[in-house]
Amino acid sequence: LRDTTIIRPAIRLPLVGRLLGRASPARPDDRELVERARDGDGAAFGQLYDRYVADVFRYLRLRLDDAQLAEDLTQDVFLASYRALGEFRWQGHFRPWLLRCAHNRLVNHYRTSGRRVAEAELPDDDGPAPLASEGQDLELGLDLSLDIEAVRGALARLTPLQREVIVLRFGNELSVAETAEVMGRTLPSVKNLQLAALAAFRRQLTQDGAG
Amino acid sequence: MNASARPDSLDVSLDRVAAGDPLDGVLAALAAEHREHQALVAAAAAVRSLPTPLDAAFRARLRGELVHHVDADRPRVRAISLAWRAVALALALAFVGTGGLVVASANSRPGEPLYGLQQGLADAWHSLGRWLTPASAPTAHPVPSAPPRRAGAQPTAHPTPELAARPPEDEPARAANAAAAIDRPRAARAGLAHTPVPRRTGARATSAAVAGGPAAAGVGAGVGANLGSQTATVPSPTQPSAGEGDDSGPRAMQTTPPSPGTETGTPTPEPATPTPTPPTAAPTSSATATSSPAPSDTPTATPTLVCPAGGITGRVTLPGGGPAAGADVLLLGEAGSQRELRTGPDGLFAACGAAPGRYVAMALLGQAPPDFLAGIYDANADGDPDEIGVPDTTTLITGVDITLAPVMAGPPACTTGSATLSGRVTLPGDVPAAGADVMVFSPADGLGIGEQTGADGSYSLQGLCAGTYFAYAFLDDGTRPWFGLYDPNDDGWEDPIQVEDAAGTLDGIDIRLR
Repeated sequence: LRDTTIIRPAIRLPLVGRLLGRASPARPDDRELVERARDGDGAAFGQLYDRYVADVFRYLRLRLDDAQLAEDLTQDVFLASYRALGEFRWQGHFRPWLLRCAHNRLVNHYRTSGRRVAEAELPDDDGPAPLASEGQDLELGLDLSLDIEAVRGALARLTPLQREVIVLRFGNELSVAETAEVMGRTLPSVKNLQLAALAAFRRQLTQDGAG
Repeated sequence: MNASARPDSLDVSLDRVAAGDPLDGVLAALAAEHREHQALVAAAAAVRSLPTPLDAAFRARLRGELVHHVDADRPRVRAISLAWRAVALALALAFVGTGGLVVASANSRPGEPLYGLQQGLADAWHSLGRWLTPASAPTAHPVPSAPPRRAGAQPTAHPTPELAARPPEDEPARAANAAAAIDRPRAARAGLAHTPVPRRTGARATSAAVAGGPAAAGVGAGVGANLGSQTATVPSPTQPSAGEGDDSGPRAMQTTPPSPGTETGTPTPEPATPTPTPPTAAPTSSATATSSPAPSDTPTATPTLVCPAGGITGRVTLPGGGPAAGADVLLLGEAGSQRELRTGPDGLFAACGAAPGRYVAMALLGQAPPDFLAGIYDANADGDPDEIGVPDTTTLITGVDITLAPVMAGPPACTTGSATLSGRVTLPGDVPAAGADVMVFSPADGLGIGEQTGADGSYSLQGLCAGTYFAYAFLDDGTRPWFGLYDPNDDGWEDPIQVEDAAGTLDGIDIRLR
C-alpha cells in the first residue's frame, strides 16, 4: 500500500461523517423534498417546514414588533410557498426563495394595513453610502452588553428598507448574494444599503444608550 | 473617514458576522485604526444575537396543519402539475425546429440542470457504501431479526422510567470525573451507568433502569444537574470500568449533545424531572427494568450501557466479533448535527440525551489501511445505513450495534499514478486557511489522500492516478470547525474532479471553507 493513503484522524472523522451525512437517505436534500412536496407529499413539506420555519419566523419577527403577527404571517408564508411550489425552479437554494415569499407577504401586509412602504428612501447604485457622522460615537458597539430591548428599539426605528437588509444579512445570516436575491436588488446596491443601514442602526443605538 | 476609501476589511468582517463567526475573533482581525468599523461590526453582531423564540405549540400546530393540508391537496397538485406539463409540451411542439425542445426536456427530471450531478452523487454514495463494505463476508451481525429498512426506530426503544431523586454531585468527584473524561473542547457531557444485563434470546438489550441504588442516584445527579455542561461518572458496582485508557477508575463516558438547535436556538430538552421517591418498577417489560443492576453471573450476560434518561446505546465489534475498544462512533442527525463518541474496552458506547430525531451511525477504528476499520449501523445488512429514530428525550434506544470491517480490504486500484492536484483553501473573505486538512477522495477505490495547507492556504497533492475525485477541506481554528468542498458551481454540492492525465498537474482546485 502507498503511504499516501493515510487519512489523518483529524480529517477522517468529519470528512467521512459528512460524506455519510450528505448522501444519507436519512437526510434528503431540499431539492428532493421540494419535488416530493410539489407532488403532494405532506411529509416532505413537513421536513422543509422543520428546516426553515425558524428562519422565516425570525425574519418576520425581526421585521415586525408583534410576535403574534409574525406567527400569523409565518403561517401565511408557508401556505403561500406551498401553493407557489409549482412555479419554483431549482437554482441551488431553497431558503432565499422562501424568504422572498416572506418578504412579499410582508409587503402585502404593509399595503393592506395602510402602512407606507418606504422602500425607495435610498438610491440603488449611486455610490458608497456614508458610514457615519465623522468622529462621533465611535465607541459604540464595542460595548457588547447591549440591552436586547434597546437593540430591538433601535431596529424598529429604522426605515423598512434599512431594517430589511440588516435583518436578512445579520438576523438571518444570509450572504450578500442571497440578500440581493431576496430583496430583488443588485449586489452593489445591497452592499451600500447594508452600510448605510448599519450606520443608521448604530446611531439609533447610541441615541438609545444616551437616552 | 472617507467612505469612498472604505477598505475591504469591513466587507470581510461583515461577511464573517453573517457567517456566524464569534464577534471577538472578527473584531480582533480588524485593524485597530478602524474603530468605527468595529462599531459597525458590533452593531451587526447585536442584531445577530437578538433572540426570536418560536412558540413550540404554535410550531407543532402549524406543522400538523400544513402536512394535512398538503396531503389533502395531493390530487389538485397533481392536476396542476399535469396541466403545467401539458402547457410545456405544447410550447415545445410549437417551437420544434427553433430549439424549443429544451422546454420539454427541462420538464423531465433527467433533463433538469444538475440532474447529472445528482446522479453522480448517488453513484458516489453507492461507491461509499462499497467502500465501507468489506470484500469478504462480514461477521454475523448480532441482530436476531432484521427490521425493515428505514422503518423508523429499528433498534429497541424503551421509554425510560422516572428518575430517582438526585443528590448533588460533590465537587471533588466532579473534578475527578472531568479529568477522566476524554478531552473534547466543545463536547458537553452527560453521565451514564455501566450496568450488566442479561441479553435475552430473541430480544435486544435492554432498558433504562436507573431507579434506586447508588449508581442510579449518581447518574441522576450527574445528568440532572449537569446535562450539557459537565461530565458525570458513575462507579460501576459489578463491572470493570470502561473508561478510556483506565480500567481501574470510575467509568467516564462522554456524550456530545447534538446541536440541531444551533440554527434555531432550540435548547436540548432536559431529561425527566426527578421524583422524590424512587420508582419500584420500571414501566418496561425488559428484564433489566428493575431497581438494581441485574446479576452479573448470568451465563448470557452482555454488558451494556444505560442512560439515565433517553439516548442511544450500542456496541462496536471487530471483524472477529470481539469488542472494538477505542473506536470512534459518529451519530449523524438529520438536521446536520454530529456527535462523536468513543467506545470503552468493551466496545460499548452511549449517547445520552440524544435529541429527538433521526440518526445514522458509523464507527471508525485505526489510522490507515489495512488497520483502518469502519462500519455503519446497518441492521438489515443491505449496505446502506439504517435510521435510528429517537421519538423523544426519555426513550432509550439500545442495540445500535456496529460491526467493523476493513476499509479497502485489498490494495487500491491505483498504485502507480503521478498526477498532481493543487489549489488553495480559503476562509470567508478570501482569507488563506493555513493548516487546513485537505483530502481528495476517489469513490472508485476508496482512496483518500490528504495533506495540510501551507501558510498561504495552498496545497499540492501528488501521486494520484487518472480518475474521478472529490476534494474536501476541514479546519478547526479553535473557534469553530470549518468545512468546505470543491464546488466551483457553488451549488452546495461537491463537484467531481476529472484527472485524465496520470502524470499531469491540475491546478485551481480551490476550496472555500464555510
